[in-house]
Amino acid sequence: MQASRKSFKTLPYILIFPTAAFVALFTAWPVLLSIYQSFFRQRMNIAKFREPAFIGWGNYVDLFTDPYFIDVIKNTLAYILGTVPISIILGFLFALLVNRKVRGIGFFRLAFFHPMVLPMVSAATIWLFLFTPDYGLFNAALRFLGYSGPENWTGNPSLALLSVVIVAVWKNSGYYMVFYLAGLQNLPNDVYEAAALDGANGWQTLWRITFPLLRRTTLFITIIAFIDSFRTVDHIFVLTSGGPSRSSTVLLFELWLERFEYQDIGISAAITVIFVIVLLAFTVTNFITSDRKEA
Amino acid sequence: MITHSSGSLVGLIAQADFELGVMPYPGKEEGTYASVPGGGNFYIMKGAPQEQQDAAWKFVEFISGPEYVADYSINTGYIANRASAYDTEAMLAYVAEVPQALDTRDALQYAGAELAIQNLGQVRGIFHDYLQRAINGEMTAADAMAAAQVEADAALVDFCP
Repeated sequence: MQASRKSFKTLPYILIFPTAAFVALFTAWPVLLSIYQSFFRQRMNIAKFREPAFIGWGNYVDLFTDPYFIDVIKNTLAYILGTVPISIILGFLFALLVNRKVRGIGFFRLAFFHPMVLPMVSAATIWLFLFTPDYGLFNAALRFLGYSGPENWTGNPSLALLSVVIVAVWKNSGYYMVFYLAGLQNLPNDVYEAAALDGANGWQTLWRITFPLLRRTTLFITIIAFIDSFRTVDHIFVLTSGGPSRSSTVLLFELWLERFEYQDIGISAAITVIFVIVLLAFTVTNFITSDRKEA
Repeated sequence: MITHSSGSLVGLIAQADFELGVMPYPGKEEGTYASVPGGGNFYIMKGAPQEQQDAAWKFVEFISGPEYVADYSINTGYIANRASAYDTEAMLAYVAEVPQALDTRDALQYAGAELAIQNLGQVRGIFHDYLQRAINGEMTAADAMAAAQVEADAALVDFCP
């Protein structure tokens, strides 16, 4: 009796050990190491700075007094504002569109979802062809619609960030659509019948019933969309390499530059810490607010 | 017309079904030429034991011998890194057939020193940025290069002894 109770206690720990070990090794430890390293000056390509030297908040002061880093933050914010709301709205609209019982609807569901299945690098490579000035399909389509502006999307400093936003929205909307579609198909039918009896029109049904009932789905999608927008850089490498003149450099791309191009371990650790803090603040806030709403 | 590395010469000649000529870049002044050489280096570390350093030097002598250099150049298109490679039998036979290989070598007379500095990744990034600003018309070429020089100097301060 006592023995079985004892084994009941240790079993859960044994079961979570593999996961806990991986999280500790590949998440917790690197985060702690980054926090530690962010207070040191260590640059691998300068002999005299190769050994870490404690400089307190020096790396953070350097970052936030560098006008170029402020530009990177602005680019990152613009990228998030450009991708997150639009891809969520599009995902919702696509879900409404394909949540109908029409023959061949499977084809449209597939069409909206297939960008998600493609690896980002190959998708971005295809988009690089689409964006090609003069004969690229994207420009040809825009010309057909009457557009006569600049055509070198990825090479134009005021359009480069927009072009990576377009690719991200195209890539993610279908993914979010799937979550909304699953949410829509789980909605109870009786509220719709009640609304129809009360004479609600389609618009009222959508905004007063469907959208509020999908609130938890929206919350979930907002979290993953926000995190996604921070951690996708693959298409930036392919489309713009952060340029022209750094106009499409976002935080994660800058982190890669500092660590692997400039070999600056202290600065890259500081950027990592900023990254972790922002993502942690966002997820914790969401966690708390979603818990409260549920109660 | 393409601007490309001489290292693609063999591949280009193999694929082109037309006559193919090679010339250096046009220079700044009318009628002059320019050339942008690059390449790798061999390093021998001073901390290594003496017999390893001797062995490394033997390897460098072996790999940069005229026969080997000629063979490497014939098979890739990269310019042979020693003049004597062009006097080897294999190379003489090859250039008789592919005279363009001599044109790539002759472009070297217009070459200047390679940009060889510390912190190359960052400095190159700075010059790329300002070149793009100049090309996109955000800045004049003179302003862009002046600003790039200021930033590059700042990026190199830590490397001064």
